[in-house]
Amino acid sequence: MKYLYFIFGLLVVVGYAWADLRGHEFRQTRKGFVPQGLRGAQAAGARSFWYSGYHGGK
Amino acid sequence: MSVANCPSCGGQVEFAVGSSAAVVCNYCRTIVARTDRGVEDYGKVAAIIDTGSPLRSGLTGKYRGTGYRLTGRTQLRHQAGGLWDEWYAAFDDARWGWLAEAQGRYFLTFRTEDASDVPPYERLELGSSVDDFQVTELGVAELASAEGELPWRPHAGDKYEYADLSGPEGRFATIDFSEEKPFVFKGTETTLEQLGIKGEAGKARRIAVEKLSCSNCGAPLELNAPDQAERIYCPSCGAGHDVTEGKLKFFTTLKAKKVKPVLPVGSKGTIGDTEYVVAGFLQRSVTFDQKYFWMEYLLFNRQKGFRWLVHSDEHWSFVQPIPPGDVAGSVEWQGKKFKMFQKADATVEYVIGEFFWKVAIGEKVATEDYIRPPEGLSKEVTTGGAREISWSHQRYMTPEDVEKAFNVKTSTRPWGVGPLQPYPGSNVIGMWMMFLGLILATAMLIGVTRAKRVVFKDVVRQGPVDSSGRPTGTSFTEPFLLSGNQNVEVRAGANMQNSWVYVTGDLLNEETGALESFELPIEYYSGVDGGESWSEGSRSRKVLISAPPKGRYVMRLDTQWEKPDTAPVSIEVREGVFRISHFIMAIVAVSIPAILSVFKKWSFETNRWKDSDYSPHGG
Repeated sequence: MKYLYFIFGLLVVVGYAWADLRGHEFRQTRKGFVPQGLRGAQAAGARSFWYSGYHGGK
Repeated sequence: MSVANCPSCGGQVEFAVGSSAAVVCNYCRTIVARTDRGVEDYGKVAAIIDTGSPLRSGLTGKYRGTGYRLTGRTQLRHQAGGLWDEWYAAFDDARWGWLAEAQGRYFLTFRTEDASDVPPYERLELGSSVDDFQVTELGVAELASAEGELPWRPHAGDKYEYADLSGPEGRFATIDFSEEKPFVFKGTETTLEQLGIKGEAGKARRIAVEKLSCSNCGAPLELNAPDQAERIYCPSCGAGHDVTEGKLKFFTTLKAKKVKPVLPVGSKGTIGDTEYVVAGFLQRSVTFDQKYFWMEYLLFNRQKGFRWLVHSDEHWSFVQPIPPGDVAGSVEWQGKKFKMFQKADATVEYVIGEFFWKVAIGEKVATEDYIRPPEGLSKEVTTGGAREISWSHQRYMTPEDVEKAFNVKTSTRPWGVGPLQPYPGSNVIGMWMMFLGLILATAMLIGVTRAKRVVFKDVVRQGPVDSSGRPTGTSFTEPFLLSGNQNVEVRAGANMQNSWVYVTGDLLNEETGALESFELPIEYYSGVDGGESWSEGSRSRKVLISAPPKGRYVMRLDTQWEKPDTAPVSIEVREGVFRISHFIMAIVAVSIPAILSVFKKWSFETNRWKDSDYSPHGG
């Protein structure tokens, strides 16, 4: 039990240090991807693809 | 050396030591005392009973650098029936040493001159203190026999009161009340090795096991310690016999009640590196709300003497005597503190086998048990006949240990928690504290090295009304840089009242096209109801994004207000935000197993103490 707890505790400490040093968040936001073609095709540049109807947040 | 003639038989007696006071005539066993009037007849004594002692008259040794010679001995009868030897050692520096030998233990004492502050025998109480000694035994000794040259002048059949005292670190003292002014002897418990007796001379002589038969049923009886046995109960019919010099004298038959010992009388087992024979078996009881029974096995080894094996509720413990003076007042032994567990009068309920005292059914002793699992201390106070305090040390044994030691099957497993049973789990409190410290140190390190940084700040204002009649606003942020390997917090806030704002956003990496989408619904309501003010919701909201890679980012923010003319929404983006929730999660994660382990131990300890009147758990 002591040995198992030692391993477990060590994993928690290392995990905590790793997560915070790497800026990891356990609750993930929705991820997406805007292809280069779509971004590049717009005359207004990178932002203009949103006008094309792409609404990632909704 | 001086030579004289025995006043009784005329045989020649020799006083080899100038300071000796008496010598036992080898021919007629008369005590020949040397007085200022010459030699006198102090009466005849019985022949020495062979106790299998490794010592003998004439043996020489060296104690703490001073040589000595054993000149003689007396055998004294204890009130409980047993005998002990007192050997007399003439030291090269003209001192006399009194060497008491009983049940394989040795106590060497020297007479002290100052006995002025010794209270009279009648005023001594068991457990009372004299200097730094504790009175452990008060009784009457009877001279049974003697041999050789003696430093005092005993009369045959002399009886005298004595007090034995025990001090710390094995120190020992005896007060002899044989004369008006008591004699005080002080010394220490010692070993044959410390007495400089080695090799063959230091080995106990094997006394043949006496094969006898029960005078009631004829069943064979074995006396393992014929020199020390005082009473034997036949395992077949329960007939009790007094043992006198290896001979049996029937005195009673036990009632029909029979208890079958797990370890049969006569069986042998090895505990540590010592082989013991089960000499006797006792069932004892204490009465609280009801009678509680347990078993005790008397073990014997010629070199080590007597030990006990206690069997209660299928829990076992090995018991050996310790000097009472080694137990400090607050029940501390060898630097270890013990807790009071039980105090009761123990009664002998059943007995078979051989014992070194005149044990009988109904015999009572006052007991006090102290525990420090897996060890325990037991104090027994005997008040019938000689008054005596004895202490013993107990060590827990599992049934498997006993099975292995005696090659038997105990068949049942322990139930409940034994008073000395060690907690089978682990104590992780120390480790828990260590992990809490590590987590705290990590948090502080991260908090110090990762100061949060605002990377973007702007305000979104109300724009055109949408189809539902609500004002909206869409904004595109200026590009900003993120450092990577750090979390990102997007916070939206609006100074509003009884309203809501809904923000949706996308964080776009301009180089890779990776997109993180989020929503920030904000609502805040407050008012006064029944004279009491209330509020719900919050005027700000945040979302945390898991460390986006290093790069240039932009955000699109779509905002919808519930009502027109509501305050604009401020937007702030930070990176490297300290996460208190991660810290708490880590603390909780390492604490849950530790708390469960503490609870498990608490439950085990509560169970252990449930039958005690002295429970620290308040049971």
